[in-house]
Amino acid sequence: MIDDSFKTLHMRNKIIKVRFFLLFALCSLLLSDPGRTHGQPAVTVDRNTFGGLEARHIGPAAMSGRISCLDAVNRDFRIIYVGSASGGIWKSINAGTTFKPVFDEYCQSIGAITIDQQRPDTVWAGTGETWVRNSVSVGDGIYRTTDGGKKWEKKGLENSERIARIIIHPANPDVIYVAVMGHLWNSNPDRGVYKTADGGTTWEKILFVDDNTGCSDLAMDPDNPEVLIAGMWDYRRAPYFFRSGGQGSGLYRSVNGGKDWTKIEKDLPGGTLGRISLAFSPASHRILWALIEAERSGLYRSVDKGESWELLNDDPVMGERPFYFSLIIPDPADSNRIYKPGFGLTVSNDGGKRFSSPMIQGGNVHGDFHPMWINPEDPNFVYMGTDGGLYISQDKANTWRFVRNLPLSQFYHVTVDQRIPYNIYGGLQDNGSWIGPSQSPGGITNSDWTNIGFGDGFNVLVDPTDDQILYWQYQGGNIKRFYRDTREVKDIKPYPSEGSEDLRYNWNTPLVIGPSSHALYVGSQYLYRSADQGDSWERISPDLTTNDPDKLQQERTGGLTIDNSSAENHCTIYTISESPLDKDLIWVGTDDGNVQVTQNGGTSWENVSGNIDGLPAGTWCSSIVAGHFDKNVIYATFDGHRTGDMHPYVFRSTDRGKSWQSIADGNLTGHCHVIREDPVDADLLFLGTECGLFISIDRGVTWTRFTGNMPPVPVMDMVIHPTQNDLVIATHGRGIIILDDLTPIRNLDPQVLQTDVAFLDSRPYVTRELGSEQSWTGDDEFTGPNPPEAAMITYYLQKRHVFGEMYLEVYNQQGEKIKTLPGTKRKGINRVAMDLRMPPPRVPSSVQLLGQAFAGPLYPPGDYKVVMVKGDKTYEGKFTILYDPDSRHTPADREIRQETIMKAYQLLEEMAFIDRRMLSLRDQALQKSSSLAKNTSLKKELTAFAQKLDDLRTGFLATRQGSITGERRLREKVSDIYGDAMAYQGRPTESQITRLESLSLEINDFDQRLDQITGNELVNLNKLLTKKQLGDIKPLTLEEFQKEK
Amino acid sequence: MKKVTFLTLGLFMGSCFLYGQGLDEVLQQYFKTIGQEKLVTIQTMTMKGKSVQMGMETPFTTIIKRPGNFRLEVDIQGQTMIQAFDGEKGWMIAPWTGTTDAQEIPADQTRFMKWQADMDGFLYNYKERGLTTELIGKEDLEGTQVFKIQQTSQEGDIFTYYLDAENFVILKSEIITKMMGSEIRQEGYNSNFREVEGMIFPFSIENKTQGQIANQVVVDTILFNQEVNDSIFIMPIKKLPETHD
Repeated sequence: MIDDSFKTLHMRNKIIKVRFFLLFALCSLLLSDPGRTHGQPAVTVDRNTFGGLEARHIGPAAMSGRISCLDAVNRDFRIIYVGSASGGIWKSINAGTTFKPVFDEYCQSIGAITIDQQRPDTVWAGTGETWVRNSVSVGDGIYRTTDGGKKWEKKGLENSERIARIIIHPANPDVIYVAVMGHLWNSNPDRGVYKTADGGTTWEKILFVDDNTGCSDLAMDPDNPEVLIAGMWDYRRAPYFFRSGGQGSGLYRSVNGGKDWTKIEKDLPGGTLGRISLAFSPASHRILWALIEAERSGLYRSVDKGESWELLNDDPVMGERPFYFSLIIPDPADSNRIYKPGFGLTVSNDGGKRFSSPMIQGGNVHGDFHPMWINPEDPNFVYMGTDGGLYISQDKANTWRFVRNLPLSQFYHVTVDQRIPYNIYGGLQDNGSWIGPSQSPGGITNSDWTNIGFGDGFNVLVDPTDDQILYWQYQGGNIKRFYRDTREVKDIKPYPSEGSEDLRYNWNTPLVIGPSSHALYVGSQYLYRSADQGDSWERISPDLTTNDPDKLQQERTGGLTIDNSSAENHCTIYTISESPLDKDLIWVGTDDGNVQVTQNGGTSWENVSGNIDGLPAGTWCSSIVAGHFDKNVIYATFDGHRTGDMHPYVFRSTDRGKSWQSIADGNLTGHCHVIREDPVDADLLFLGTECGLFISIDRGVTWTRFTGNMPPVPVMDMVIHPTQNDLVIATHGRGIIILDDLTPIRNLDPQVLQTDVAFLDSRPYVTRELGSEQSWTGDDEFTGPNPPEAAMITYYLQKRHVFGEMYLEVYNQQGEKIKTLPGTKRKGINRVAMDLRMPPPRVPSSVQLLGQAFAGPLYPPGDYKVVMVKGDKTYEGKFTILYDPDSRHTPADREIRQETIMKAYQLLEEMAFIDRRMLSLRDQALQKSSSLAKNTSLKKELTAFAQKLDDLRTGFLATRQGSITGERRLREKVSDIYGDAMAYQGRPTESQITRLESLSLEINDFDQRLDQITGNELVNLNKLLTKKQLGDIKPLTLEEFQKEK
Repeated sequence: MKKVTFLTLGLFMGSCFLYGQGLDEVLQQYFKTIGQEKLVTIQTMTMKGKSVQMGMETPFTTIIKRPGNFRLEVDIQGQTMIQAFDGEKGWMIAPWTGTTDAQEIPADQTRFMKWQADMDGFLYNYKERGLTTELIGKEDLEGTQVFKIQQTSQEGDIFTYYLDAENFVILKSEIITKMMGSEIRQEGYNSNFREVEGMIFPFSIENKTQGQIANQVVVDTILFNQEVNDSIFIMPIKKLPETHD
């Protein structure tokens, strides 16, 4: 196809291109599938279809999220790379004042980061967090950047899942050793210690124990890179247990760069070992510490590079949750000082014999400590990562400053309310429950968010009858009713009835409000319903799970270190959906693979999971969603990752669960967390997986990952705002992300895709004043952007526009063209912000700018037509502007406001005309004067005439140079009223209105004074000029002035 | 014709495409497309248009004259702001900054004018310019196949061009440079290409700074070889009288 506008090109180019295209056609024919030569192939959705649609990250960074690893440049502590549990890699070049994400195109779960300290722009990143809690994400290999994080290249180890340590050979940057922990939930052989000698092109597995044992830590002798010590860890998670330790665990040593290894057992604890952490002292290279999980975990020290060992400390703090805190961090200058992260941070100053908290004067920091970096040039200076973000200490971990700009928040769930602007509610991993606004004056800052609950937060619900009442929960089914005004909390969790067994609540217990019944539901192994805000509960089901005794191991979970936190509670209800069309039709999905349905409000239940072909039995049902349009329709996602099955399972039934169809396609990646059916367009589906957001516009036939400012971060939950039409996304790692206004996507159907150009409706733009705030809190706080304060014009282009004209014209209801916009030209959806303001008024010209007059008045509400001119074709669309229906301002007040603004606008324009007339007359006089000889009377008269005009102007507008001259003349006074009236949406004050009247009279008066000068005086001057054949001085006409516009 | 055939086949056999040898082929096609041969004969170029920023339209005029002179005039509330470069010195007049005198622009910012004063573009004669230039490869730019060409200056500035693999015009250009020691990234997305006197120019450019939309430039007219006095590029020593069109 040759673009029409291509015809406008130079003939020479045209000939070349036509030949080019002929060749293109020929080659295409030769390469194409013979079966597809009939007509053009249908255009399908791909990642470019959504074009310019970009998601809005609103954080928050108030509580940040888990930092899994970090590294900084030894010679320049200001340069930091922070690896997060599931929010990617963030870089700072100013010691944490500002951060930017540098890994948004890749896997967001980070296990290890190592800077090549000799070439600090080279950084290695191993993906897959190694703090293997129940909610941990997964990695997909190792990456390297050589330009400080601008570009990353995958360097293999794709099946490693988690990487615990990366060590660069001090003499050869192409030699890298990697501790690969391997798969958490299943056996696999891709684990152990790996080495590359060619910068990652090829890898050799140099230490392998068995398919269940990975390398949890690796240390290299600072004096001899041939000496390596490896901690091997036999571990496994399942949906219902965690095991740390096994026969594969052990400590290994190599003295020849990993060619041969010796298992070290002498002096170490007998019996089964668990996770091991290692560290050489940078201050005294002979000292090597090992934190070893065992029946009695302890800190061991070797002073002969790992050959023999001494137990220093086996206090319980040494054995705190090794799967989460197995780390030992020596001070770079003091060989007796060692830090031990854990639930709290402790430090030893005697080489590891005794530990205590370093926080004497401080300590207001989030618990659960993970990586630390201590400045080798100043050990007072420490970066520390926790479950609640990054902190900086300048006094050896005594007091801490929180880093307020890492929006790594890990939400589990999200809901919204009906306020305008609406609020967002959700709970987070180890960071409680929060409320925040969808927009706020100046952007959404940390201080806009309010904490309402503690622990690990999950669902936060707004009571449908009273939005002062909220429900929140913490892990294991602890449910609270919360009164917003008093912050009073009432525990409303259902307890077992007399004689009943204990209730099993999932870590992430489902808590929902029925869209039809408005009842509150909570699931243990039973389904409970409350019609009185949780004061009483009705059990409306039998045990809906498999109740498999083999899977009820939570009291024994943990392996060597028992860890029964409710994280492994199993055989529980995980997801609940009441049909929006029938309150008695309720669906339940369980973590052990059941899908149960009742059609009579709970009187009887049917298990339909056996009807799902293609789903392995027992696969965790991660979400179940009753259809909005047809009560026979149900969507469900299943998540097998806790058994090592990362396959995306997405199903739909259209017959109430009797039969199910898989609606997953090959474009999906990551195990599935949640599906949402659009409540307006039945064809539009949204799917959240471990690897991001996927959209289908054809009911699940094809899926496309949405990439518009949307990293491949785990999407745990989503809600579609019922009136604002935003998709509000709970990510586990990057906070709340909003895709504003789904209306255009709803209008993007497969037919539209085939058209060259199509306008797509957007929601009406409602003019609201958010107001402003004076806030100068520095550059170190994250601020989430507001949606644009503009009407959006949205259109689809099948192909990028390159050649010839393309622009947008906007017409008002009267058919007058009010604006021309350049538009954007990319392939797919283009979203152009239509500024709602008329052109600003012209004002008298001055060395002082008039700030108020930079903006024009708002266009009135109504429907506007948009015409796209593209080559020789035109296309039509529309958009609508509305006043806020909830505004305090009456239409009559708005009318007076508009009249006042327009009057001031006209006065400024009139003044601009007066000023242009004065300047024109003056300049003509001076120009004619310059051609005359000195001391002629005409020259004097002309100069005097010009001076008179200049003098007149000084009373008209500010003419003095300088930044704060304080001059207020007519121009400035009118502009003040213009600005005042513009700044408020309602009726101006009487004082403003009468002031404008009096200024108007002053302008008239001034105009008359100018007329006097340009009357007889100018006539006389022109007579003299005519005599000298110098031509008349001509006053600027209104027509000429308008033409200038 | 032989060259075109070679290139065309190259496009369809990406894996066989020898990028090391391909740069000059791609550039030749690009130069041919945009009319570089004619462009190098042009002495002055005067461009008028408007900059659209946050809905506000600001008319501008840029004048380029060989060798390396540049002048930009922008009208704001009836006043004219001038930025100019005479090949060595950059200066500006912004009446609302408290003076109507010309003020010298720091060297960091002057570089941008120096670059704009280069009518031929950095891809032309890149070897003589001392710019390390390489064809990175072929990739997808927002759904359009492009050749990515990267240049690195001796000062460490990185210029990247995304050349439409079908039409051989630059769809996007990117500059990564340092200002006062801090890295900044500027991107320009070109469209509405039109022919003017046998040369092809974008008439619409969307500029981004640090990834955020800065403004959109709409070009109305481009005139060549207008009479332009060298004095308009030279920094005035005395205070300029107020001028009005």
